[in-house]
Amino acid sequence: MIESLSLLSVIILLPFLGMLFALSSKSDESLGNRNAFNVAVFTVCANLVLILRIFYNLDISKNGLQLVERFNWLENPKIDIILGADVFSVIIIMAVHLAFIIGLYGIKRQSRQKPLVVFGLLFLSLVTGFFLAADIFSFYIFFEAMLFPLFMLIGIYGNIRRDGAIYRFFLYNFLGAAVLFLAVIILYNLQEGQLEISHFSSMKMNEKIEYFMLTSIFISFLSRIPIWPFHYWISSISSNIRNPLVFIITNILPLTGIYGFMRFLPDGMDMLSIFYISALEIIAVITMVFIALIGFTNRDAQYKFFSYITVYYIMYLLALLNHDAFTEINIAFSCFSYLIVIAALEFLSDYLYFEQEEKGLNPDGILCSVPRISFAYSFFILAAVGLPVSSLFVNNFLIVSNLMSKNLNIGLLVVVSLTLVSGALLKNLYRLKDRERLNPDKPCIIDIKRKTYGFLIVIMLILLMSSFKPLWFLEM
Amino acid sequence: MSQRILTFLPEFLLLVALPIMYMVQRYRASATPKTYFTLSRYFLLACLIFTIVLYNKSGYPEYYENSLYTSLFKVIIYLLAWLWFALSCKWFLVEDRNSLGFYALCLVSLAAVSVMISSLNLGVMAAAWFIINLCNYFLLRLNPEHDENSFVEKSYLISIVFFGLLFVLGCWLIWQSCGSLDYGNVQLSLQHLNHADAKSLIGVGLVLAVMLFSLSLAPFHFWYLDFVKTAILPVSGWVTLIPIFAYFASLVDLVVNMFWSVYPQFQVGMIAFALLSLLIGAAGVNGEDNLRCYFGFSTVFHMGFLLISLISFSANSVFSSFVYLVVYVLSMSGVYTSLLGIKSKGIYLETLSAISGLSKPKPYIAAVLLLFMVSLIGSPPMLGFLGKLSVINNLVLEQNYILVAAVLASLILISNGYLRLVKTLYFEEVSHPFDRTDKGIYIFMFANLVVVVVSLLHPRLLMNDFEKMLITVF
Repeated sequence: MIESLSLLSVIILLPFLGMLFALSSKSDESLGNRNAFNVAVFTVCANLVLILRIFYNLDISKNGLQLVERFNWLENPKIDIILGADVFSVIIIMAVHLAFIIGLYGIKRQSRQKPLVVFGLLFLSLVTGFFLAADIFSFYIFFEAMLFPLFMLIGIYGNIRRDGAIYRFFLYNFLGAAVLFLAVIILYNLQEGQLEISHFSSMKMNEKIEYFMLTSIFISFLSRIPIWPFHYWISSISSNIRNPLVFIITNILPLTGIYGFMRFLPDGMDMLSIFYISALEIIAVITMVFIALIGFTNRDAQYKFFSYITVYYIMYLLALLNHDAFTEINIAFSCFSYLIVIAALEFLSDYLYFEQEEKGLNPDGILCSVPRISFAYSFFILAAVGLPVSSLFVNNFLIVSNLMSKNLNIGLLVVVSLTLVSGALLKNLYRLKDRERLNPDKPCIIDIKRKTYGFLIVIMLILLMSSFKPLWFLEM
Repeated sequence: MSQRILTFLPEFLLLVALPIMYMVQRYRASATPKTYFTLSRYFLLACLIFTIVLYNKSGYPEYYENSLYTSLFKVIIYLLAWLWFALSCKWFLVEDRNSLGFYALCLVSLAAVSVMISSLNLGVMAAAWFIINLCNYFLLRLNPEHDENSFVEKSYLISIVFFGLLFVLGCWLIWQSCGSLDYGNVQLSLQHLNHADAKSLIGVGLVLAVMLFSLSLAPFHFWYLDFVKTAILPVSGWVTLIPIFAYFASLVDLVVNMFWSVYPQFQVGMIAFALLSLLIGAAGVNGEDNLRCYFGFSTVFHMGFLLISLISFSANSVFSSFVYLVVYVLSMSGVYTSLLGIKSKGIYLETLSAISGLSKPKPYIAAVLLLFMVSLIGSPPMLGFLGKLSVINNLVLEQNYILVAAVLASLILISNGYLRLVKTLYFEEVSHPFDRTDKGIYIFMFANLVVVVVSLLHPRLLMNDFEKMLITVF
C-alpha cells in the first residue's frame, strides 16, 4: 500500500500544507503565539517519518534516481514534472529537515513567529522539491522559487544593512536564475522535449551550445556559493543575522549551488570543460584561503562561524569537480553531519548572544557557569573541527585524501584552510570557557532548560551514530 | 433579415440597459450605486449568454463575424467586466457617489469593444475604436475634483482626436490603394501590390500606430499614465483591464488577416517600440512613488513584453502572448482589488510611502499584493511563470536570442522595482492607521487566487482549449 503512494510528492506538499495551516492559524496570546510554531514542528516531524520511509524504499546499492514520479503538467510546451530520489538527495533532505527543526527550537522564545514559520515552511517545501527534481524544468522551477521565501525571511528578520545586501542578494540570485532559465529553454528545444537531469552530463552538444551551457551553469550555480565575485551578499547577511532559523535557511542556499554543479557537470572532460573547471578551482581555492585567514584573525564569533561554513562548502565543491561516485557519497554523509552541526551551533550561539545582550555581559568565560550549554557547545565544536564524534571525521578524511590524490596542491591548501577555520572555532571556544577572564561581579547567564538539553542530546546521539555508520537507521 | 439582426443581440442588450438605467434614475427615488450595478450585471449576464449561444453566427459577414476566436475574447472580457463592476460598486458605496455614468459608459464601451473584436472592415473598426475612446474620455470626466483634471482631459481628448484622424487617414490611404476596407479584399490587394506602394504602406503604418497607442506602448504611453493617475479608481481599473483584450484581439486579426504580406516591413519598428516600452516601463517602476503610475508603468512594460512575444504573429507567438495577457490581467485585477481595500481615514491611499508596513495591520492584502508582484516578475511557482515560459520559449524557437537577452535584462530591472513595493509592505514600519477592509474585497481576492492556483496546478485547463480557439483566427 505504502509503495503505491507518491511519497516524493507528499514530502514536498506536506510543508506546503503546513504553511497554509500556519498562515490561517490564529495568533493566540494565551498560547504564547505558539500555534504556527506547533504546526511547523508537527509538519517537519511528520515529514521526517516519511523521509525514513523513503529510505526503506530505496535500494541503496543502486546508482541513479529511484522512486520516479511523473506528472503531466503542460501541453505546449510539453513539460512533465519528474521527481526522483537517490541516497545523496534523501540524506541531504533529511539533514535539511533536522537542521530546520533545530532552527525552529531556536526561535521558540521569539515573538512574531508566524511570518517566520510561514516563509520557513514554504522554503522547506521548495528546497525539498529542488533536491528531488529529476528533470531540468522542475529543477529550474524549484531553483528559482526558493529565492522568494528566502528574500522575505532575510528582509523581515535579517537585521542587516538591508538595502545594499538584500538587493545584491536579489540581483546575483535572480541573474543566476535568469541565465539558468535561458539554458533550460535552449536545452529543451535542442532535445525537442523533456530532458532528465541524469542525461545532461552525457549529452552531446555543438561547441557554441556547450560554451553557452557551461557559462550558464557556472554563473547560475556560483551565484549561490560564497565564492568571489558573488561572496559579498552572503557574508554580509550571514554575519549579521541573529535568528537561528533564518541563518540556517540562508546557509542551506549554497548547498543548492553545489548540488547543481554535481548534477550538471559534464562527464567527459574536453578542452572547454577543463578550462572552466581549472578557472573555478583557482578562484575557489583563493577565496577559501582568504576567507579562512579572515575568519582566523577576526574577533567576531559570527564571522568565524561564517568562514567555517564557507570553507566547508568550497571544499565540497572542489571535491565534486572530480565527479566520481565515491566522493559524492562521502560528501553526502559529511554534509549530513555538517548541516546538523552548524544548525546546533547557531542555535547555541544565538542563545548565548541574547543572554549576553540581556545581561550586558561580554563573552569571555561565559560558559563556565552553565554546564549543560557548555557541554553541548563543546561537543558540537569538536564535531565541527572533525574529531571522531560525527561522520565529518571519516568522510572528511576520505574527501581530503581523494582531493590530494587528484591534485596535491589543492589538497594541501584545503587542509590549511580547514586547520585555520578549526583553529578559529577552537579559539572562540577557549575564549568562552576561559574561567580566568570571567568577571565574578557580573551576573551569570541562565542555562538551557532540561527539555532543550534533552533535545540536543538526541541530536548528539544522531551525530555519534553517524560517525560509526551513516545509514544506521536502516538496520533498526 | 431578422436572423441577421439577431446576431447583434449581445451588443443590443448592452445598449438596452441605458434607457432603463435612465428611467430608474428619473423615477426611482431610492436608487443607489448598487441599483445600477444590479441592472448592469443582469444585462451583462444576458449578453454573455447570447454571446456563447451565437458564438459562430454572423449576420453581415462583410463587416462583422463571430467565431471561436472572437467569442473567446468576448467571454473573457464580459467576465472581467462583471468582476470589475462588482468591485467598483463597493467604491461607489464607500464614496457615496452616483454610479449611473460609470456603468452606462462602461456598457456602451463594452458594446463597442464587442463590435471591434468581431469587425471585418476597417471602417467599422475605426468607428468602434472612436466610441471606446470617447467613452474613456467621459469616464475620465467622472472625477470633477482633481486639480489637474482639465489639462489631462484636454490632452486626452486631443490625443484621441489626433490618433482618430490618423486612423481615418490610414483607412483612406488603404482604401485609395486597395479600393476597399474589407479585411479579405485589402489582404488580396496588398498581396498583389508592388512593395513600393507608399500609400498602402503609410496607411498600414498609421493603423498599426493607432493600435500601439491604444495598447499604451512607448512612445505613445503618455496618455495612459495621466489617465490612470487622474481618473477615479474604478475607471483606472477599467481602462487597465478591459479594452486591452479588445486591442490585442484586433491587432492580431489585423496583421494576420489583412496586413500579413506587408507586415515584415514593420517588424523592426514594432520590435523597437516593444524594447522602448520595456525600458521605459522598467525605469518608471523603479522611480515612481504614486501607486497608480507605478502600476501604469508596469502596464507599459508588460505591453512591451506582449508585443515582443507577438512579433512574428505565428500561431505559437499568438498563443504565448495570449497566455501572457491572461496572466497579466489576472495579476493586475488582483492588484487593483487590493488597492480598493487600502484606505486610511476614509481616503484611498495612492503612494508607496503611504502603505509602508501594510503587512502588519493587513497581512492578507499585503500577501496578495506580494503574490501578484511575484507573478508579475514571472517567477515560479506563480502563474506569471507560465507567461514568461511561454514567451521566452517562443522567442528561443524563433532563434531571437538578442530579444531574449533584452527581455531577461529588462525583467531583472523591473523586478528590482517590484521589490521596492515588497520592501515597503514588509520591511518598513507602519506610517498610517488603516481602515477596516470590506469582506467583499477579501472574497474577490480569494476568488482571484483560486483561479491563479487552479491555472497553475492544472494549466491545461487554461491552455489547451484556448489554443484550439485561438488558432481559428488563422
